[in-house]
Amino acid sequence: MDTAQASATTKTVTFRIWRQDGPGGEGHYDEFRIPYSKGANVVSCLMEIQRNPVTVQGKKVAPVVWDAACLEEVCGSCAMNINGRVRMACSALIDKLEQPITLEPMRKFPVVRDLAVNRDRMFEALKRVKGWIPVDGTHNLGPGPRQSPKDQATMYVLSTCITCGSCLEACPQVTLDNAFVGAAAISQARLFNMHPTGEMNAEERTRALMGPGGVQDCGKAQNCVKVCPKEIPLVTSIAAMNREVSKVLIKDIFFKEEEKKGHGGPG
Amino acid sequence: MSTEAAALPRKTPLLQSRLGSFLAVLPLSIWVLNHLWDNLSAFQGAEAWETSVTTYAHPFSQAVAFLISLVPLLIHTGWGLARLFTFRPNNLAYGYYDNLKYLLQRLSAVGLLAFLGAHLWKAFLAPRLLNGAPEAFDDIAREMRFHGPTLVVYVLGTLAASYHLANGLQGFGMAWGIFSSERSMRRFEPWVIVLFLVLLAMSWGVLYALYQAGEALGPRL
Repeated sequence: MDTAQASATTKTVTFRIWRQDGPGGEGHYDEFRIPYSKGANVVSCLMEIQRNPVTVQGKKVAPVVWDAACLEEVCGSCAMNINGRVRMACSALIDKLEQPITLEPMRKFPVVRDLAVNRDRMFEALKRVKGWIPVDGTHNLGPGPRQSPKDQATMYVLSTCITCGSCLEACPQVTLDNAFVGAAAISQARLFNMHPTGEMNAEERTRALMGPGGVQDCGKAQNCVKVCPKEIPLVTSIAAMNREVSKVLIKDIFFKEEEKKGHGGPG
Repeated sequence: MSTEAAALPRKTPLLQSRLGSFLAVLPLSIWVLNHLWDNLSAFQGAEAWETSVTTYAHPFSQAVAFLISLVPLLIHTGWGLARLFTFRPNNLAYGYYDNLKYLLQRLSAVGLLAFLGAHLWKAFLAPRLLNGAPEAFDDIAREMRFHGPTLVVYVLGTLAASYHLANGLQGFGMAWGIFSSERSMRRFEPWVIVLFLVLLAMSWGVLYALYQAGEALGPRL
């Protein structure tokens, strides 16, 4: 065996992983060392550790728990803090990370176990802003309303949100126990308000962003847009929804109910 | 999903969520600009300064000026303090420019709270309530020249005020939907910097004038 090959086989990757047995419990770090393989990402290394969960000290421990599904950055379930910054574990390449690689669960969500967190607050926020298009009846509704390619292009980017929670994790205004809905839900409200059918419920979505935990809790730190793995223009979405909220506020003051239009647009 | 208008909440929590930011711009920021402008008369000497800063045409105008500045300030402070409770800075992990501005906005707010508390008491209330007369130009000028802590507090306090006002205006623009895109905020950025520098130049100009006047007067005998 030549020396180059020998050094390649002995090259290792070191992980420091946060371990926590259950919600709200105390936690600690476990250190693992696994053989290096070219092109590996954090999820593939976690799988390697799962096969043989023995720490650097030689102690056999329970396998690390984490969430992952698609392994190609479209399901949003593997978001975690890698070396102190939130990102998707599946697209975090080992070659580009400083070692030891520290893995921690997101802090703005309750921990289920180890690296797995409960993202309910994001789905509750989507329910609050009614992040869907209501279609009633099972009968044939005919072709849907037409959309301009320009609107469609803008909406497409917004529709790529994977509810991973990175925007909430990086937001200094979001805490574990406050009610702020966060950038993702605000952006989804904008998306469905832009849709020609969804627009019919635009006011409901806009009003859902008022009051406690609404869009006014944004502190303009603008970390959300920088950590978003899908590069969604979240700051623009928040600003756009701020404008919609302001319109509703002003119309509430100066217009009678019957003078208001049902949805957005001029007038 | 309900499509009936009746299901919508009719009342919008305007007072809680938006009044605090609105009052900071109207009338507070205009009041601050006016206050700095008035104070620049320190360059023209004691009489000019006392006429434009501490003399009111009528006791009523003094009371109105006090209310117009203080009531919005109190509401804005209450609103801001409530917001500070959900403030978890993460600038070490996310060291972006905007995140830094966000942190500085809150740090300057806390500094301003202390500065304005001291400034309102020492320069507005105490002389009027305890001595029955507004603070004389000579007193404040001497204080600025010969009392180190006063100078330091004013230099830092006005720095915080300039930053908080200029940067706050950009936040206000986004919060109220005046800038409805990230790009429009970026394009306002140079104006924020210009406004910050103008406010700082005015404030420190006043302090310089007071310092010079104090120098001319010499220490109290």
